[in-house]
Amino acid sequence: MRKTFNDELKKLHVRFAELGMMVNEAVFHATNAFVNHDKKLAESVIEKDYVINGCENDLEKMTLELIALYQPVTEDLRDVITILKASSDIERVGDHAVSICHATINMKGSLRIAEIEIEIAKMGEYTCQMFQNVLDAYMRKNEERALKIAKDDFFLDEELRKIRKRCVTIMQGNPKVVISGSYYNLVATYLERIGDYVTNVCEWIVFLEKGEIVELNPNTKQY
Amino acid sequence: MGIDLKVKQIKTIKIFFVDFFVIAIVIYMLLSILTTENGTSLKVLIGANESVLVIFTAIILAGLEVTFRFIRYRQNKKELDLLSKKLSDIAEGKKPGHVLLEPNDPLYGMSRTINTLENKQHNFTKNFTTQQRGYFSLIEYLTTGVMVLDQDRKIYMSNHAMSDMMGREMNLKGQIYINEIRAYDLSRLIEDSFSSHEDQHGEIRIELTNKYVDAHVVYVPVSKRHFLVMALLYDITELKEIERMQLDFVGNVSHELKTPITAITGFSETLLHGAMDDAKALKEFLAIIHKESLKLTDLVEDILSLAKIDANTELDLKEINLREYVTELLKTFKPQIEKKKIKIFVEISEDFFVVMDQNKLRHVIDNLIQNAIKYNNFQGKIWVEATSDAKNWTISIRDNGYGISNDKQERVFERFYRVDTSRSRDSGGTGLGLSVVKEYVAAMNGEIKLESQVGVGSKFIVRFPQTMK
Repeated sequence: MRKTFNDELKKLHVRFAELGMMVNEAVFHATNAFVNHDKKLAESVIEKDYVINGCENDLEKMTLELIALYQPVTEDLRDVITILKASSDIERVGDHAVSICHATINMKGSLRIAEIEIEIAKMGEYTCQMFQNVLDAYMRKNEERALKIAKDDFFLDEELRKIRKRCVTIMQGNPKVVISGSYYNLVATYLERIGDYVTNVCEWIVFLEKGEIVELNPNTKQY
Repeated sequence: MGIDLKVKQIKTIKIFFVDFFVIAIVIYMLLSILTTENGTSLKVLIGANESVLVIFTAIILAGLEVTFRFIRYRQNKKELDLLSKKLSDIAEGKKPGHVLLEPNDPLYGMSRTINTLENKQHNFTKNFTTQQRGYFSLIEYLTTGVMVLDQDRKIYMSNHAMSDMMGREMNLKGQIYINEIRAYDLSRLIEDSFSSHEDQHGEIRIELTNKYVDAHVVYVPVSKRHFLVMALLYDITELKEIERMQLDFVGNVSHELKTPITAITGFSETLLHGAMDDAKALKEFLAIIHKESLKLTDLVEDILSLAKIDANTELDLKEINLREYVTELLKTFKPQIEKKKIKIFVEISEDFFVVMDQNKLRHVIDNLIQNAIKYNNFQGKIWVEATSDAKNWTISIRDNGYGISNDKQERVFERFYRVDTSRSRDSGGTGLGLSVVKEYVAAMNGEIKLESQVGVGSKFIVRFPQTMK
């Protein structure tokens, strides 16, 4: 009994890690596609999204089956619940990556704002790094690192605020850049949202280790 | 311990009594059997004290015997202890000294066997260590990425090349591989192999390091219930690149040659078929033919200069004032600059002197400035800056033009490569400029770097050593 449960749990873990990898690649490609104005890459990310969604469905089914068949308790239950909750957060990150790709495709050909492009590239790179770190922290069950990563989210909030302000100012001065400006706002928001989901995953890492449900970075959303 | 001692004592006493009785009986029998020459038995001779004497002698003899036995036992025990200690040392992997016994010792044969065994075992360990070392360094220095997983999906071993290819440390023995790996396609192959117990093979792109690998995942059965899974990655990035470069090169060069030739052929044909009677058309078409032939000349010249750099590596060194030199060069671009209303900022101090080959440096800066103008927006800006330190000096040409995307930044130095074919055609050029620059920079022991972002601009940084050879 114990052995079969462990095997199932291992399978669940592998599938979860795979979801993480896929979403990580999606975010990486989405930001790169946006920075390099690469329509083809953006399309490939959108095409692959259904695999990510399928993987999340698989995970949900597997966790429910595990709970129903083995009635896990204590640490095992935490393991299963964390995967159930964190996988939906991670899947949402994948959806945001797709949104960024849609923006990349739609804004092709409009007049760009160079300084905002630089800021977004910076933000994208930061988000990718953060997402990779949170996956690492999850795999190693490193609670301290999770708390640190949650703190990094402030940078993204700050960056979003900066980009919004700057974008609006530039758009007021030059109506030609309104199209791209509004897309920049959108993409920056998506990136910031990804940061928030990363924070959520951090909360689940804390839960996994301590069994406490915590709220990291509360009341920081004020634009 | 106490019980042990007691048992020993009881044993000793038992032996003593047995000895005593045996000796007493023997003496008594001897006394009865043996007679003197005149027929009187010894028993009679000793007389009344007979029994006391027999008992006394028996006690002394039995005592002697037990003592002797004890000494023998002690000696044997010492030798046995030595041998057993040696054996346990061997088992622990230490290297104990040889035990030497006298040839007439009962344990002599055994001690010899143990000594031989130890020699054998020692040699065996030595060979094993050598082999293992060799095998591990072989795997470590192999250019193929190797990772061995046990059946619990834990990393048993992983080499340097593997970490290189994956872009992160993979040599983490005992970790579950899925926690370390960050390539979905590879993990899928490995999982397939775990579930199907069959070998898998596929070509995979690793995002983190931007590498193409040929991945073999091998299922290795060890015993009935145990198995290993081995992932072997062969880096084929370069092969892919060369393959693509060759294809592109042929495609590009034929395209570059074909466009002007088609124009020349077409227009000359039209002229021959009667258009030359029309004075206006004649002039216009001839102008086009001339323009296209000039393009061809440019192309051929660029190709020739590429060949020339390879052939002629000697430098003609002279001291030059960089600011004056660049300003002089910029004069030739005046018409283009004015046409696009581009502003150029030369940010080089007045007393910046360098020792260089003027001609070769001209090719480099010329080409870079030409690109900065060509791929720039209307009313764009260009900055030319120079800095120096103890070892090197650097000149950089920065623009706020179209920019080059990350994945293309490596490729712009390839011969005939164009960033955006549709946009580049009408801006002219041969697609050889930057490859010529790269060759010249290399000929002068320099380095060229590119930083760029699409929509932001590009910066070409060229670094030369202060002292030229």
